[in-house]
Amino acid sequence: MKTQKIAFVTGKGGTGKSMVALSMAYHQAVLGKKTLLVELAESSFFQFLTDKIQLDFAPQEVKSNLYVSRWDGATCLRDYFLHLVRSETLLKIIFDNPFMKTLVDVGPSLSELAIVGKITSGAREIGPQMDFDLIVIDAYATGHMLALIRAPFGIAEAVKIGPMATQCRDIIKTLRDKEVTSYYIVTIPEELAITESIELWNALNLEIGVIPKFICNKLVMPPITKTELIELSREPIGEGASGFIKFILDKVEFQAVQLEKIKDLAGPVVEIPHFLTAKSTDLVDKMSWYLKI
Amino acid sequence: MDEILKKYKVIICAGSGGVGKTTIAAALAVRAAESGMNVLVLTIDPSRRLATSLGISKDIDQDVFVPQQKFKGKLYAAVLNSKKTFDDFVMRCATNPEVAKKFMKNRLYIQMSTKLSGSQEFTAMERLYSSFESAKYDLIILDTPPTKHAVDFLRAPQKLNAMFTQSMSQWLIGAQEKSKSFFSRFLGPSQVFRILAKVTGAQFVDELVDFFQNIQAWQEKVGQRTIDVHRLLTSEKTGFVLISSFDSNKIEEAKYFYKEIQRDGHHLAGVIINRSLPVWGRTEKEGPSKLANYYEEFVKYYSERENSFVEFQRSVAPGTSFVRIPDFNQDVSGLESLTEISHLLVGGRA
Repeated sequence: MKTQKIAFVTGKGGTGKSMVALSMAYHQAVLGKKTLLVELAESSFFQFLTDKIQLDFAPQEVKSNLYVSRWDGATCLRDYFLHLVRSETLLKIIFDNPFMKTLVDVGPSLSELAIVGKITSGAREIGPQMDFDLIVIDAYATGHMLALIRAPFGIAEAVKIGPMATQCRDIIKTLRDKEVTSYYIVTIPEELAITESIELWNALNLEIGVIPKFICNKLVMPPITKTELIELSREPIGEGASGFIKFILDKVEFQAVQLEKIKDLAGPVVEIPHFLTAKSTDLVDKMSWYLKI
Repeated sequence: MDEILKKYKVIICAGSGGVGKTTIAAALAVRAAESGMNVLVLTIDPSRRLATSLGISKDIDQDVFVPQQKFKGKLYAAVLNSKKTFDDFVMRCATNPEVAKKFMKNRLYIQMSTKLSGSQEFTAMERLYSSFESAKYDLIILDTPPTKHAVDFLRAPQKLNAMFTQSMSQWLIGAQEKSKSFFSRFLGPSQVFRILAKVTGAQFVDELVDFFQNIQAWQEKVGQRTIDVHRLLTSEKTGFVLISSFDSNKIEEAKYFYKEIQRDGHHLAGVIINRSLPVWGRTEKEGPSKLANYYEEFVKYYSERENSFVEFQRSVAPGTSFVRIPDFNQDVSGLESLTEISHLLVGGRA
């Protein structure tokens, strides 16, 4: 069996990372890879893909080869416990207890560990197995993403012996294996988003030792070159028109400065235009062309 | 907007991620200081340049008098230091500071505090409340943590309180007591522990029990604080300013948030739509030849949002102020550009 690949898609809120994750998964599915898109959220963003099925923990096929699933700490932990104890009755005793709910909510990093354990379970061949070539994770935004990835490191340090410690070390190995796991940081060409993305890149790189790739979304890409724009801006035209040209020119220049910062750090960046379309389904189609990763 | 600044003691800038909350919060504070108030703006994650121009940093835990200001009033600013705020809170809760200090070295505490303070909702509320209690300011403006949904921020204190008040802590601690009657009455706990120990290892379970025994001490204090904060947030003293960008998803989100805060008894003071299309886009009909199609697409894109925005404006209670801030195409960080924005906030068209 081929190793199940993992792609984490993260980024600051408002950068469009969920749409990027979907488009990426969609593209891989079209290429024939059996792909699972996982959303880590309390309510489903991808529900718009289907009005027939309620999207939840169990993977559901929404397009040929493309499956969607929504995970949180409690469901992942439950899934893993069931695999171990193999008894619904015992499972009920554990999870119907208010203790378990709270434990998952606040129990230090347990929720994150359960999720990252589930994500890597295919690659590690541990726990309940799912038959996919690729898992694309629409992961949390910056800070929470770091908490997710840090969980196995933190617990491995706090608990040195026992099955949990062994598993944590195993998870860490998978998270660091560049043949298996890749990381994408979605950003937009704005000062704050770029700064935060760079910090996230550095944290992932220094702490985990991985090399994330940047995807810059919502770039204003006019149909003419910058030189042509400058020429146009010098022509005597109506006030409104020149206002528009100046607006676009400013944008293009400002974006270039922002892009340069992440290129300096991580090399080539995947650039996605700001699509002037409102429909989410059109957007996926258009966006996936830019995500041939 | 000027009236709002006078009317409330606390203004909470809410909105989902990436809409420019921090900048707007700072601009509102600048305006308040200009009109002669003593104002504090509590920021969560300012851009480096904004932090520099306000003279604040994560390492300074105090309210800072913003340098080089020439306002009638006084402008103070601070960055939320979550770890510090959380530790302070734990120290204040503890009956015995020695025990608290020891507990703070507990590895699970460190992890939990990182998680709780990392989520920032609790610490932002705590910091807001202690600043409010100090009664040093005419107005406090709070920038809220970046949440996926604006509502998450409001739900956080209840969530935290639930964690302490649910019978869980007592239940867990009770389970460790060597009382036979306890085990005979409840079959659950020992089962849960056995399975948990099987999955995680006995060492982890021990650490866990120790941890929960310790945090039980905060239960009452956290509960009281939650009630106090809730009372402040629903009182006439607190107004919410909803910030949204000119994007259909964000406007939908804003509508939802509006419903939620109405339901929870909060007061919506105003709505600010950030990064709308500059005025030329709405008035000029013709674009330049080479860009004509692109221009049309652009205008169409924005006018679709315009419709959804107008619909939202109609649905909101009359008297709520609506302001638009155009897309500036640049980073706003200096006191001067903040002042410029603050003037737009006051005189801006709706």
